[in-house]
Amino acid sequence: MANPNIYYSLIRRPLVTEKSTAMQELRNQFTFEVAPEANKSEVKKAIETLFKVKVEAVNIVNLPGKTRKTFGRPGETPSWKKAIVTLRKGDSIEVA
Amino acid sequence: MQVQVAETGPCSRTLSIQLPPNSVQEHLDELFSSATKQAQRKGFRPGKVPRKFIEKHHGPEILREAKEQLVNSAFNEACRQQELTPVGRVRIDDFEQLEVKPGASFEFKVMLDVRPKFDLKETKGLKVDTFEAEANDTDVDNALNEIANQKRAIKSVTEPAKDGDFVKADLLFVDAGGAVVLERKGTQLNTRIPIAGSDAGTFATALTGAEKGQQVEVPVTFPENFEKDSYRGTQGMAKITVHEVLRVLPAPIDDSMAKLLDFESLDALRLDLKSRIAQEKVRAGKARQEDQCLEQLVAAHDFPLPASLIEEQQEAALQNFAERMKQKGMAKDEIDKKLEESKDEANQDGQRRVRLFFLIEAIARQQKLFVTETDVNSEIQNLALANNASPEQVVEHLEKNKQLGELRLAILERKVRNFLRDSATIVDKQTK
Repeated sequence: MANPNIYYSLIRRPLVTEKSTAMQELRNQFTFEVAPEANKSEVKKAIETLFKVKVEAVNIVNLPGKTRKTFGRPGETPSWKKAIVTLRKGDSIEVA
Repeated sequence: MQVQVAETGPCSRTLSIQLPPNSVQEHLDELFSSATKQAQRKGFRPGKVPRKFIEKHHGPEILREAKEQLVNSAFNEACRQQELTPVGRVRIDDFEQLEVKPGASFEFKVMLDVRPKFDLKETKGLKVDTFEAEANDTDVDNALNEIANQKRAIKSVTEPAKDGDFVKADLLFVDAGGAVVLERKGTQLNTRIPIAGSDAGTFATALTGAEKGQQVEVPVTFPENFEKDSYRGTQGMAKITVHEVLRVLPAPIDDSMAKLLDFESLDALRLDLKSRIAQEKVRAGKARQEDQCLEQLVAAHDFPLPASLIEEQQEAALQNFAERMKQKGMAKDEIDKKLEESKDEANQDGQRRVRLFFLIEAIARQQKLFVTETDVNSEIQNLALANNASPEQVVEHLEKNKQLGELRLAILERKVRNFLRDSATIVDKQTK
């Protein structure tokens, strides 16, 4: 079994928003910000190892950065990767 | 809600209050729903934060708030139910340890004091002494002497210097061989304040009785701060030549003093003083009569008193006493010692005050004496005039310091005192 510490760098933070909360309640789906290099199988392994749950599916969404002006100069926020993890019925992750 | 009342003393009760689980839950639901509406969190529209987040992040604070609100509302409701009017401090048993749990009943105990029950004895015809309402010539003379003393000034006299007088003199310091060391001209000296390096007794004896033009000699040891370094610590003599004797004298009681006080003549001042003294005598006499009535009532009514009220009075008196001693610059240890000594006295005084409070309240109720808004407004006007402020400022100050209740109480007390005095019997014609 791989060192669980490497998973901490893959799974950056849970996303707690109105939409993600609704998805938890409706479909048992939990949303995380993950490392840009992470893929579905790595996310699945990481979530199962770190939270001791069974992952049924992982959906990945790449979110491009947004242009932002800082002190009048154009800039860009970094692009990032979001993983929507569907858990087996009955499993749950405390993300509040 | 279930309430059980236990009589733990003549003026003390213990309420055991139990709230059923559903009313606790209802209250918690209300609090959480109100918190949910107000909560703001990144990722959620305002008011859309789920309750579980609120419970997790703000649960303990909300439960604490619920505890305070439940205790307050249940206690007030219990008092209404049981027709109890608490006085003084209300103590909640182990308040810190109490816990509100969702879906569970909430029980707590409250210890409180209630008004004592007693029968008010006769309040009319209490015996009081008469008082002198006129000012006599001696009173006016005493007042004039006091004013003259306040307006005292330092004046030159031709008589020899007395103890406490000042003298204007030239000082000549000579060494043991008689050689001049230093000369100081036009120095003002006091018989009670010796020059540096001289003996206080010798200095006073030498200067007392000295006349204008006379020279007196006082042995000195030149002090460490003497101008001439080489003479410091050596023996010598101070030769004092008196030029003028000055004395602090009261102002002459005549038309000039009256004019200083904006009166045309001494007669006008005497007339004004006479009327003022008479007014003051009437005020003091009335107050004495009222005090006599109250003392008789206190002595005639022996009823149990709420302990917490006495404690409050005792603490306030001791705090006041400590404050005064602190202002005088007394050390903390000494203050603590004095406070310990004064505890019994403060307790006795507290008991008297509390008894008076209930008596005044009972008399007001019996005689239907009330404090009306007109009374309060007129008192506020008087306070405003006395303090050179607007009535609005006085109201603001009273509200800020929560003293409006005290003001009403003071007005009620005055009404009761007036009633007692007006319905008292004057038994002693002897003037005081």
